[in-house]
Amino acid sequence: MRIYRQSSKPLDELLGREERLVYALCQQEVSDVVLAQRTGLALDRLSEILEGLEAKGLLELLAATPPEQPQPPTPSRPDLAEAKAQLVQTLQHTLGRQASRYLAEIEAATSLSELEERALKLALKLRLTVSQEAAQALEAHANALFK
Amino acid sequence: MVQALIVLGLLVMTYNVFTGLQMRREAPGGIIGERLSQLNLFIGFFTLGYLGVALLVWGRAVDLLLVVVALILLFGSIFVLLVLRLVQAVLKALGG
Repeated sequence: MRIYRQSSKPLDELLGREERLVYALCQQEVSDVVLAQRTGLALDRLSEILEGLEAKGLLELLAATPPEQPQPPTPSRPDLAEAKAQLVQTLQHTLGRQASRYLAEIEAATSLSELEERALKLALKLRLTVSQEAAQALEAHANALFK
Repeated sequence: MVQALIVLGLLVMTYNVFTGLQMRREAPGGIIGERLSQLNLFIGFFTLGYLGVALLVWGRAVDLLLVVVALILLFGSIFVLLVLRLVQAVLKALGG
């Protein structure tokens, strides 16, 4: 974002309609973002006008903030339905028909964090009472999904 | 009196057999399921042992050694009962 204001140089030349508008709006300190809103001009066109007026010495740049750095991509988390489907598939693959007894525990989750908690709890339950292999598969899949 | 103690131990152990088998159905596999299988095998073996001892000592004159053996058998069956109760509590907690 850049903030402009009219300079002390007198206006002694003929400006175009858009340039005049921008120049007039810069009587007080104003940012390019606000100028774009007030004039309805596209940002690139506005930047062009502002640079032109600045080059002519009619506007002075008071402050400029560096453009925001793009955020480093964060590892995307799957949506809830997709995560549920993957965990259900893992359960069905490892437990077969027996999986139907435990699907409700996965389906009942209303958020990803709850799903993670339920999946890990179910993995513990499977490890202790049903099948260690199924538990390992479920735990590994849950860790891959949520870590 | 010794016979009564041994029979009591036998009854508790028989109850343990049924409890163990019932719990095995609740935990068909996994760590608890595997250990319960082994535990049930030994519970069955010891129940037969209690029955054998009861038959062997039936009608015998009571002496201190028999009383001690009968008490050990009775408390052994109670110990197994407590272990099964503990596993039952774990299964209940996992189910909740």
